[in-house]
Amino acid sequence: MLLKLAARNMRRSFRDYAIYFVTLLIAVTIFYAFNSVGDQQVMHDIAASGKTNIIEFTGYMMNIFSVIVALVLGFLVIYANQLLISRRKREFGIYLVLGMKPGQVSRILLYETVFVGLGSLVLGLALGILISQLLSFATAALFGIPMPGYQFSFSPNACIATLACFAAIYVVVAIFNVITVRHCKLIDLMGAKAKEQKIVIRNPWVCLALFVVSIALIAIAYWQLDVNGMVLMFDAEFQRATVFMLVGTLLFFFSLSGFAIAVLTRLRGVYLKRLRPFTTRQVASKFNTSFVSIWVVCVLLFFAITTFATGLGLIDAFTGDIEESNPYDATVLVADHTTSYEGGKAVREPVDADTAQTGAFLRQHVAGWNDLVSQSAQLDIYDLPTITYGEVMDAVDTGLADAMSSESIANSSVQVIGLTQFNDALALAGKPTVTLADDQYLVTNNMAASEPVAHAIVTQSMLLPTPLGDLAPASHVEQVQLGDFSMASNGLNMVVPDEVVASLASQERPSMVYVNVNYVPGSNADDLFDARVHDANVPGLTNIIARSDMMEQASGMRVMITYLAVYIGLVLLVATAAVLAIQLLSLTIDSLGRYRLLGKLGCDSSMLTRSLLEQVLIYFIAPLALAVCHSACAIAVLSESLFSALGVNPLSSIAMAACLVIAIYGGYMLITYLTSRSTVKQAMS
Amino acid sequence: MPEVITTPSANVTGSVRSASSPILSVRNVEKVFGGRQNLMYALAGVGFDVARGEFVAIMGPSGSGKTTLLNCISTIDRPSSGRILINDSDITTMSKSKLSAFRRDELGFIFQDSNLLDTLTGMENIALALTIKGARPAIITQRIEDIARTLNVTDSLKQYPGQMSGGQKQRVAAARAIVADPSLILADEPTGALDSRNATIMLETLSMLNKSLNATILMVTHDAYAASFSDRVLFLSDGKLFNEIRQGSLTREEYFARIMEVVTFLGGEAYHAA
Repeated sequence: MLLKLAARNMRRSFRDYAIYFVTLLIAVTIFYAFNSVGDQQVMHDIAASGKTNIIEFTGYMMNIFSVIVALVLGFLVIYANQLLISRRKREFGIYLVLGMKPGQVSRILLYETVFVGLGSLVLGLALGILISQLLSFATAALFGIPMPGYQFSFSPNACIATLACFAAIYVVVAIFNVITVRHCKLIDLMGAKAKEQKIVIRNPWVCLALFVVSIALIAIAYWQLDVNGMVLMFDAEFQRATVFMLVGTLLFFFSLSGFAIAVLTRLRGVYLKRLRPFTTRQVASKFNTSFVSIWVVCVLLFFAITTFATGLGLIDAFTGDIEESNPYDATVLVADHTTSYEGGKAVREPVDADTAQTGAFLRQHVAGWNDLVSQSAQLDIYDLPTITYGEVMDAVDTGLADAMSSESIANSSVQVIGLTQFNDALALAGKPTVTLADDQYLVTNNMAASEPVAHAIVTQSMLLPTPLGDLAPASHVEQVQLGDFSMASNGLNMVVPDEVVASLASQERPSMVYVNVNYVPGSNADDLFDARVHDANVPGLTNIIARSDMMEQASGMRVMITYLAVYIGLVLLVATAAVLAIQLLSLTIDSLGRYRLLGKLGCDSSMLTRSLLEQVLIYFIAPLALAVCHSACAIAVLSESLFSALGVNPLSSIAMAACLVIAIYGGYMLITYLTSRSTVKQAMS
Repeated sequence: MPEVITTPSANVTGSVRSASSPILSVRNVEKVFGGRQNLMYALAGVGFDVARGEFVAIMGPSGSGKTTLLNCISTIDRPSSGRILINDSDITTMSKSKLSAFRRDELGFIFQDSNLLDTLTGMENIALALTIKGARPAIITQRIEDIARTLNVTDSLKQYPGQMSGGQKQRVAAARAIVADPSLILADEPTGALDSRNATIMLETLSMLNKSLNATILMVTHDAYAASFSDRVLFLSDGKLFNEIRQGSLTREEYFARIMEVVTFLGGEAYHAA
């Protein structure tokens, strides 16, 4: 009997439940699909073949973020449920008046929760499994490997995690519902309708003042963020920016409708047209009563957009030019010092190593060197005692794109390489060699941050002082990577005639040495080289970098960042859009009496439909607009401080973020509009 | 069927036909509910005219069909047969969208519970009747101020309905009904939710709309006191017009006494029928 009643309730309030149900469905689907990423067959294949643990790391990161996502979804579900329940208090009151026991009413609610929960879990899991199949194709594409034949994949772990997470959420919802019914007095239940229609009116002058204050706070937040540059996340400026942004945004939504009403009602020519007063008041009253949730929505939207856009931007930074950054099969890196950082300053500790002899040492001591390595080339890098990078930047009056790095390298000596060794390295990488006159030097660079300085040196023909006299720059900047690395890492190394290097070599050892090697084709050097070099105990060894590792790491990074950005972006967008949709729908349902009255007064359905559309647009776009402003500020600051230094153009990732927002947010907007339109039309007939 | 049914028990003043063409002309209207097995006549052939500038009350016990009749006249419901002409347009054959336009151009409404929009100020509530017609904003403000002064609700213009008294609400509702200068104002139990003092103020307001602004008013009420403010009372019983009384040269007290006679008779008949 109660079961029947619950089933009938759900059918009758299908409209209320539709958006709630769809949201749960999407939540379950996303949760399963992204948690199953680590268990994909492609991932297993890569993990089995590769040496890196990036796959495990991706799965691990997904799990960590899933906890956050589960919390967000939990709050969403409970919030939406509370909204639906509070609107039905009258109905429960009638049950109680008719003689039902509170326990029975709770049971009806429990059955409904179970119906919705089971339905969304089963359908959501099915959809999730389907989506995860598509995701494995995406993984293959992101790793840049061909799909090794389709295989159905099912992740028991993700399935259990999804079931556990949502079961827990539904249990909390059920408890909430039981408490709601138990704690309600009958008189309150029956009077629920009258209580809800209470409207909040704020003093327009207070709103005006607060609105100005909120704009000022947000402006200060933007300014502080610009000062901070968003590179260091936890200094005073960043904290101030965060607090001002949060408080400013809250005040903004607290005062927005009061301010808008104060302004609009004075513009009578604009305001007194058709249903504008009604539409404005309708949205304003909803804004006034739910400004806190709109504030949360705006902040989450800001996170979603910023995470998504900058996340995808960072992929380019980390993996964009991985081919050019790794011209050799492997690079052995040796230094005559170790560097440690104390209080942000680099401290060099000398190491007793005859770095210039590294190549010979490797050939002698690495087991089976000749079986593994077909060709090698050594690059000795010397410190030029006559000039520092700070002096270079002063001379050409140009700094690095990133001001802080400028400071840290200002005191380091300019690094130089001999022409012969440089040409050998170019030849090993299969590139054309260069020639220099005796009084010339060549600027080499491929880091975006130091690009302006490199060009300034050439265009201003800056003379380079050496122990053998001044040299003039060659007429171009050589874009070249000196050894394998995860990104372009050559910043302003100068190629000088061999005599200059010879004179330096008589005074000092090379501060750094790259030994670049190419493997013997067909050998299993990829698996052996690293360990063999380690076993040889090379003096001053700092790193052994293999191209294959770098490539895998880059692909792994690309997969991880992409999935995380999409995962978080999707969940936050769905959550925020769903909250707005449910709020707006309940507003429409609560206002059906108003629409009926407007109909009686002679509004035709096209006028009402238009008002509904305007309400949906304003209600959805107001928080989005402010969130976009915040995001634009954050992304602009990041572009200036980070992206330009990394040589990343954030436009494409911004465009993708925009597409995602339009698809999800726009979709919810459309559903909300169509549902409220049909609700009103049904009520009018 | 005759347009007016008279009974010997009450003093009848004759047929209603004013010289000029009537604003409202109800002709033999029937409204049937139910299916083949259990036909229920809510209106069983009602006919009458309301002349320009007239204030007519319709009375009748519960279930007599007065609300159905008002719904049909206010174009919210359609009669099963018969014709209703307002300003010579037959509203029974109009399309739905035309009816919306017709309601906002020709009709003004006053409801029992004032039915103001609680999110709008008094001024905006009154303005609604003009804005939905597409009136120019400059005219709207002036017109509202004039009407508000006439109806003595200037103080309520900036208030929200939640801040007004019941009487103020009803007068704002009256302002909304008259502001767009409709051909006919339909009032549905306008004093139903008011105490006696506010009810009197409301009725005097209606009377003033009728006398000084020359508004044509059709009021449905079950309250004889309210009806005594009208020029003419039509009595409805079991879906038929039963009687009619004109104030003519009677004083309010005499007119009220006449109305009470019919009400008493109708009540007695209902008692005998039961």
